[in-house]
Amino acid sequence: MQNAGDSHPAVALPKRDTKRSLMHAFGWGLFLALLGLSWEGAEMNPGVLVSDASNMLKFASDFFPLDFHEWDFYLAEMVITLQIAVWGTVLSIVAAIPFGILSSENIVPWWVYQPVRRLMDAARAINEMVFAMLFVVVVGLGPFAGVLALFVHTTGILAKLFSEAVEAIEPGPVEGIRSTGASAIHEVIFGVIPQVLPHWISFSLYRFESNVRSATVIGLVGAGGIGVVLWESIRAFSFPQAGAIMVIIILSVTLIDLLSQWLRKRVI
Amino acid sequence: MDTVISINNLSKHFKGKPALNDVSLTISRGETVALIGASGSGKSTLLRHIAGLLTTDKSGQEAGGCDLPVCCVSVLGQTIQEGGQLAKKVRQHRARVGFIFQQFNLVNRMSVLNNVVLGALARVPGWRGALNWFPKSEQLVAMRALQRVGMDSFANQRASTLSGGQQQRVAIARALVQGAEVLLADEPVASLDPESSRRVLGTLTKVSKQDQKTVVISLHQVEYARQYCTRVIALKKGRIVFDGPTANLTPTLLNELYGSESLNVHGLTLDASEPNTIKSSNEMTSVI
Ligand SMILES: Nc1ncnc2c1ncn2[C@@H]1O[C@H](COP(=O)(O)OP(=O)(O)O)[C@@H](O)[C@H]1O
Ligand SMILES: [Mg+2]
Repeated sequence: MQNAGDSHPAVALPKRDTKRSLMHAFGWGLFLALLGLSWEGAEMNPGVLVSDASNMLKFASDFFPLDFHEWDFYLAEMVITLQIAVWGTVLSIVAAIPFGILSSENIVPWWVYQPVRRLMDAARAINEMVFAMLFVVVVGLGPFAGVLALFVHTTGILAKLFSEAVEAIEPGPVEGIRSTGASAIHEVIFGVIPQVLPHWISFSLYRFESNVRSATVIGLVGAGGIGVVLWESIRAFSFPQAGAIMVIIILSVTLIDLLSQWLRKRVI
Repeated sequence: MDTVISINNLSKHFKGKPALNDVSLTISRGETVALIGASGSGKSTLLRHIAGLLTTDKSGQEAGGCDLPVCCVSVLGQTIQEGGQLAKKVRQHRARVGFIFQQFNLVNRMSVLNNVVLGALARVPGWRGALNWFPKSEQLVAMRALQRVGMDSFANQRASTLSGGQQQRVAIARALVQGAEVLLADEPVASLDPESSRRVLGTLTKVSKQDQKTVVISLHQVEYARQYCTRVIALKKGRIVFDGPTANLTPTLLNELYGSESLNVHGLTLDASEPNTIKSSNEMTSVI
């Protein structure tokens, strides 16, 4: 119904931005094209899931009944895995503090943060499994190779996360310290770190969770812990034992995740 | 009288936009100066240059091609910066200049006492400062400073749990521990209620009078300038348009500074019954 006596001026919807709609459509087209092209490369073949279903059922049944006879040995190896994760994470936190600050563009000039960031990129780009294989060659088979692998890779990740937190700080408190005549180090200690500490703790706990998961697999290349035992039982086709080991891994990882999530909630 | 702050030909552009335009001034020991001007007139920028928290334009060229003399800022006889370059020992010089910020800029997670003792960072050995391990004598200095600003009973409380006015008094105590002979305060009461504002300004002017400190306070409210300061420097669009005794501030000038509408909006009205103190007009450097 037209309201003749309406004193309000007429309103109209804003014109549709054709350029933006086109960009939108183009973006989706690009994404679908990417999916299609990758189908070939990834040799996608969902059919086998159906045709070989009976094979898989047979394979799955080989795991049962699970064989927990050597549970105390598995548990001991699981503890070693956790210990690898603890040391790998702690060392990486210690290293990520200076590297993180040196990759923050609000703290250091570009000729410092650029090279440091590239170094951290490299540490992050190479998977911990690859580092594990390399360190096994250098320091021999065993957990220490695993610790070093986690250390290097996690340093790359934490340094990036740490520096992102540093780049988001309020400049005010830093200037507050600067105005007292303090040195640059003091500015970082009293101006920057108190602001980022809760985030840093949360990131570190989160990486500890991931490192527990990673530590269970780096054993596959001989870098110690429960992964070694798992790999050996799979190679020996002892599937009931492999199944038991996986159950222990799942339980431990879940437990650690819950614990660490609970802690993370408290610091933020 | 000996000169404490001296600024020569200070010009500052932010990405080509002028913020300060050929500002020169001197301030003597023991003066209490109010820096007034509308928002964006360059008050903060001027104060931050004095503290060596900002650097001036490099040369006159940035100011439009003409060869202006080199910008130079010195405090207590020490050059803070010259030609856009901070002095090598600027950190040592900063210790003698206390800065009070509008947003207090304390370390929120630390106790009041710990915040105040940080004023001693520049004189304790670096490693002690880094470990936050200050000698007992310095902690006592900090307690005394807290006592002077009336905050000693809050020494163990976290800074973030204090009200704005209380945080600002803690910031003043930190500057006292610094032993700063010059106090610069950038709109120290802009985010405080009137009662806290008076308390903070009262504390600031009282301790500086007792210690013969030189104080420059940028203020939004002209009333406070009249109440607490003896000299006023007014900025408009990055230029000094008035510099003289507070008593010489006239409604005409304030109108000029803030515009008549905003004068009312900000509650900056001068009492109409106030005697119009236009004494020597030569103290007003080009009001237009
Ligand atoms: N860091 C900065 N970057 C760009 N422009 C700035 C910066 N600081 C101040 N300015 C500009 O300089 C002028 C003066 O600002 P400021 O000194 O903060 O004024 P006041 O403190 O008097 O309100 C304003 O136009 C402001 O936008
Ligand atoms: Mg300001």
